[in-house]
Amino acid sequence: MRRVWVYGFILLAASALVSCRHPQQVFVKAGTLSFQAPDSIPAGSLLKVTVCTKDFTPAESIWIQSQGSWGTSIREFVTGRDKEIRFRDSLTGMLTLRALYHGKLLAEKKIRILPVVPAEPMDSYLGSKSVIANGEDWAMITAIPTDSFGNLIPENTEVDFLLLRPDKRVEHYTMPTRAGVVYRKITAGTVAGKTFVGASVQGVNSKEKELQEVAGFPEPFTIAAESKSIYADSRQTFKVKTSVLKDRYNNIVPEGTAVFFDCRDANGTRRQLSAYTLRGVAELFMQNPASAGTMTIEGSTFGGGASNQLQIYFTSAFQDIPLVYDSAAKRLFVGYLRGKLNQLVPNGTEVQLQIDSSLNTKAETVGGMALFDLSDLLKGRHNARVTVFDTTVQKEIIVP
Amino acid sequence: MLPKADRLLFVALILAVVIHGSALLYNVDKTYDAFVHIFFADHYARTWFEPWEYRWYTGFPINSYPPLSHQLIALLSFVGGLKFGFITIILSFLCWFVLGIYRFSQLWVPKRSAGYAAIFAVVASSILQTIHIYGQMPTIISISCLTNALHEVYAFFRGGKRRNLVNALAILGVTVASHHVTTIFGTAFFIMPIIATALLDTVGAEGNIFVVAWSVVVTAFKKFKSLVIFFSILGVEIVTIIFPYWYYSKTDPITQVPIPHGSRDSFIEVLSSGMMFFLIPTGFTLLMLPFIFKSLYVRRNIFLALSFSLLLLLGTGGTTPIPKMLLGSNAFNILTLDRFTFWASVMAIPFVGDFFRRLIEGDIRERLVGRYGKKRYNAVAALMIGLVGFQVLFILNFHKFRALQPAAIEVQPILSFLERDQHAKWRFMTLGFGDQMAWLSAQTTACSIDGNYHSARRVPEMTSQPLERLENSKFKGIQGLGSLQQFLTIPEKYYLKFIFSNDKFYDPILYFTGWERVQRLENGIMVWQKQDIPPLPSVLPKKEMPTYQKLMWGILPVSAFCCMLCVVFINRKHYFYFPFPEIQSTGYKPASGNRWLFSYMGLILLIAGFFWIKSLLTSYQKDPETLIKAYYNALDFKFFEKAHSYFPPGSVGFEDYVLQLSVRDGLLASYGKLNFISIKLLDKKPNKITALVKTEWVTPLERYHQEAEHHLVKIGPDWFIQPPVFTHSTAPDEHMEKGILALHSQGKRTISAATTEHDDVLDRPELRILSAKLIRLDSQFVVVGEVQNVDEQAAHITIEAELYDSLNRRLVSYNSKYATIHKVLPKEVVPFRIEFEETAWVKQDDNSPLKFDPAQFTAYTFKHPPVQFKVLARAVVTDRDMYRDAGVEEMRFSEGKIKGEIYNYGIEEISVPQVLFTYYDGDSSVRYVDHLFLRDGVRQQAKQLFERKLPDFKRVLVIKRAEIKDFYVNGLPQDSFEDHYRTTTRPELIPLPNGPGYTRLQVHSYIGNPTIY
Repeated sequence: MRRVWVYGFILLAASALVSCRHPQQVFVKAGTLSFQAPDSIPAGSLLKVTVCTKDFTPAESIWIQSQGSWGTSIREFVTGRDKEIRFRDSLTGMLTLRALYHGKLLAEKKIRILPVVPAEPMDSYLGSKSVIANGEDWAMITAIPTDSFGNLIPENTEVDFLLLRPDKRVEHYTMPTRAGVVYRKITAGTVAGKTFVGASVQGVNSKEKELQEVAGFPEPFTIAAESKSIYADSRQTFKVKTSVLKDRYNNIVPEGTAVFFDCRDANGTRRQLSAYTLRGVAELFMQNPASAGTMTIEGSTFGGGASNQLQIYFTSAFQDIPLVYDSAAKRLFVGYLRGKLNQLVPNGTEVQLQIDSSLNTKAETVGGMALFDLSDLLKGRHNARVTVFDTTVQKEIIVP
Repeated sequence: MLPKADRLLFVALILAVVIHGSALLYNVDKTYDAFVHIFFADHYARTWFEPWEYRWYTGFPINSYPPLSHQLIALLSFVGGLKFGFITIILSFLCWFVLGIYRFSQLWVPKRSAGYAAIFAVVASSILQTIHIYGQMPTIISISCLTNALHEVYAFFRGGKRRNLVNALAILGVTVASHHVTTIFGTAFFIMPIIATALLDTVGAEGNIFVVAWSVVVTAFKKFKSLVIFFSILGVEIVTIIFPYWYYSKTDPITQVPIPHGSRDSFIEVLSSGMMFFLIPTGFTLLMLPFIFKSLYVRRNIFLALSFSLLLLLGTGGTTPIPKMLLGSNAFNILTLDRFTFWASVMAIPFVGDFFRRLIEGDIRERLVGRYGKKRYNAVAALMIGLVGFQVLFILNFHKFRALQPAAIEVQPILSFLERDQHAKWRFMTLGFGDQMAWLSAQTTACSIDGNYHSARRVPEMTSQPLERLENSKFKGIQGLGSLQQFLTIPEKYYLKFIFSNDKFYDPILYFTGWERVQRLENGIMVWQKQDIPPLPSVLPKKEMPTYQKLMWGILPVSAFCCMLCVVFINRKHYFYFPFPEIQSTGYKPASGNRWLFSYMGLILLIAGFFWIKSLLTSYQKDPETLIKAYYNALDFKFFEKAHSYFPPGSVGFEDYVLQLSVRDGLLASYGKLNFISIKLLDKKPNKITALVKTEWVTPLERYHQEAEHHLVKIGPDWFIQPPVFTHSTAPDEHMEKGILALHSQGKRTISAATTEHDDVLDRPELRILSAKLIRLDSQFVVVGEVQNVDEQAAHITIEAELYDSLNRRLVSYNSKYATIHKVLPKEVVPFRIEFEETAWVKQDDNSPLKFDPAQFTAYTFKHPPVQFKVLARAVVTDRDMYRDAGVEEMRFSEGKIKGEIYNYGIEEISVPQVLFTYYDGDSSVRYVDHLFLRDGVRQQAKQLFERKLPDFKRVLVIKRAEIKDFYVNGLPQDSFEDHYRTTTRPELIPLPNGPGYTRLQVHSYIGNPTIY
């Protein structure tokens, strides 16, 4: 008995399979269909499309394909049950509706999705962020106005640019959008400072943008010495100061502009020193030379101007160099070394000693005097040359 | 009812917890390796089944080390943190080790002696050293399991019970999972002798030796099946439990230069190595050697005796050539030989325990009391116990005698810094942290380019050097620093942006390679950063491992541990029971041995005492050479009081001396490390000597050779060295006033963690490359040139040169290093020189680097000669390190040299001055760039002499002179920028004395201690 049921079940299942593989042929008669909808709507608003059918039997499924900027979707419309279909598209472009019935295109409708009013803040970009205030260099302000859904606003919409220049002038430009983008070249003025830029369209504004207009390379400048003493003592310092460094439009150069100083000392040696500007002025402390005579100083900025040649005269700092050799202690005393004001030279003044062109040694003064221990010197006559800065004296030493 | 364990075992367990537990609380952060194991544990706590660790090097496989010990810490870290996990695990396994020693001892000595051995195991120097100096937890876990397993192995081969086999293999499984080396060598040095002894005990050791030997061989053949089963399963365990490790070793071999290890030194030549790797681990056992050998070299113990002797011999390292002959050169250079000493010391513990039993309650006591009386006996016993106690105190407090690690660093401020403002998106590096860098890494997900597990080093700059880690590169001399400076020169390759420095030694190298100080954290750590480094990619490369291996790695080791716990728990009633006749002490006879033993002990103690007293009484002033060496040693280690004591009495006061030293700064004074010294006595007189001392100092930047003449005088029996001559100069001005350029780059960012907006992107300063040439200096290719900042902001510049062959194939690229100024003021012109080193590969797709040896600069080996090049300069706005108040004075050409003085006319003291020499051709284009670091710093309104040999321009061959199309600025061709400058004459160029060309000098100043405004 159970076997009968099993056979029966198998028979039923086989019948069902056969019927699936060979679907019953359906003959349909397509009626007419039309869409009733506006030709365009603002982005994000509800689109109601009334579907009008005629000669369709009730409960028939018609497939509505919508193809827009987001892509393609498909939904079912059942005759007799549905009256309208609703869409909400936030992306501008063309929305195409197609009605399909058993693979047959019944109707098509194109609806344009339009951008809505621009939304704040308007995207704006400014580059480069700094230009040289020479009337030639330029930067560009670019704006991309969009609505609240990020859609580009209609072509040729006019965008206003307002610029407040460093010289307090306000400039106004109106530019139309091209491919959704609007831009304006900002040519540098000749006054250094900040240019502020604002863009607006239909009452919608951008963030504030800034453009630095900076001074160009400095023009020739002058240098002068301050707080100078007259003695070539290789110790005291004096200040070398530039005039205010400005570019050719009279703008003060940026803070920190490097200035190179090249000096020629009276003894033929060179100095290479550097400084930077603060409020346009570079200054540095220079040490008095070791040699009496004229020293020449010149400042320069590479790519920009150079200074005048400043010449400063220094007189010798010492009166004379007394030498005393103590043969018992085998020591050479140098001093007392005095300056022009009869003052003792400062501690630490370097004294060089050369004996017979072979022994070179140095000592520093303490209390105006330097001391050399010559206990290793061999017996006999020796020639001692003592040099302090650029002054040299000689003395014959006899070691008993 | 089975007999209980000896009561002394429980005393030992209590002592283990009390002594080691309390000491570990203080010592855990002072050991060598504890933090490394904690770091590994942290990995498992974060990602149990992921074997790739991103945080060290450029990532490395964590399965390069057996995982069990780390996994156990990781599990416990969820209860009480990582340190809690570490201490708990190591204490638990120490107790397990004490149990193991007790059981192992019963194979060789009486039960009571095993109790003493258990106590000695707690205080054995090798164990103390392994835990409290090395922090090697896996070693403790593995040796504890091995000692426990040995008892079972013996019982199995003697009794044949399957229960013992299961026990042994279960316990050995844990040994494999925690430290595979112990298993492999333990099989050779422990298990084989045990099996042989078991076989010997089966047949009986007494009788004719040949008969006994033959019986053992026959028995071995009879037990062939047991041997096969045991070793087969053990082999399977070794292979299976840590299969991913073997797979990694086979498939991902990393060629590395072996790292020198003190255990391979000759302990006679390098006494410190002898101390660390032989004397400390053997400790009291060294005094016991006659007793141990006497006890071991009996017929029953002969196999263990041979094993012990071999281990002890191998542990002597390079003292004799025998270990190298036995192991072979390759194994000798890879293995750390102190392991053998460790195993020998563990093997000796039962016999030391036996000694103490016999000394306190056995035949040695009777002999001593009987012969010398109770008082003398008490003195000897007290001395023995006292020596062990001294050993314990010495090792537990070893870090106080010799600091193994820098002082503890509070890592929280560093963690806060890394978490702040997305700093963890770049790699970081630590300098001067010691092993605490592992502790830092364990608490952050930020990546470090360095690491503390040298076996897994994957970065070529490190694997080509015998360098454990960059962190301690100053201890590796110029080789270590050479490796470090490569990382600092091309950090963009590794996304390395931040360096946490706990050692000011590295400051100059950081500064002159273009790094800048950001801030000093609350814990005193200085943060350095490199500008213009791209952040790490969101997806980092890793070596993927098959899923089955990840599962094996995560499951099998812990399963082995659980299996051991279950087996031991099931057999707990039999665990302390030794089922064979108790072993009796043999070998050592007090009647004949005491005299030898105590004489030996006395001799050793006398020798040690002699050297100790000698070191206390040694005077370094008995001869001139010793005095000079002692003086320089004192200077090197900044022992100024000691150095002052070598000056003639009354020559200079100590206060005056240290005051003079305190105002000196410079590479040698502040950053130098003495590397070599040679002394030549020039003028010898009875009481007066002049010596020429040549020294070589390693500084972070260069090696310096210094020659100095010293005058020594003899006063009484001692020699003294004349103090250095200090300057007496005084500054001309009492006060200095100076306007300072101060900038602050803050961007326009909204204070938010949100993604950067367009407005936040900072402007890049515009640069102009003035000229550049590819030159060949001898066989080395170099790019030299000059760049100007034409922007209105100060710029941090990075200059890179790329070389191309005749077919326009890119050969190599490298950044400018020392020979430039990395911070450039508006309109300032700075030179640059770029040399191409062997590992000169900036981007990942470059050719694999080769070896690099900075001691002898190895130029890049070109397969095709470069004929073209590009210079790529890029800049970001900077607001730091713009000191320019130093220049060159008294500059002149003399004897083929440029001589002059650096004068500091600013308000900061220059710690390390650098002179940049730019040499030009007749058309003002750069011909060559040279630089010189001065040894001494320059104080305010002071000067420092310098001289530099003029380059031999005949050696400089110009290969290619760049055109403007070869220059790129901020990623764009330079000719795409508009020119707003005019070419001017350059009055600052100084004509060279012989022939056409010019030169220009600039001073680049490193301010070590900048004024805080």
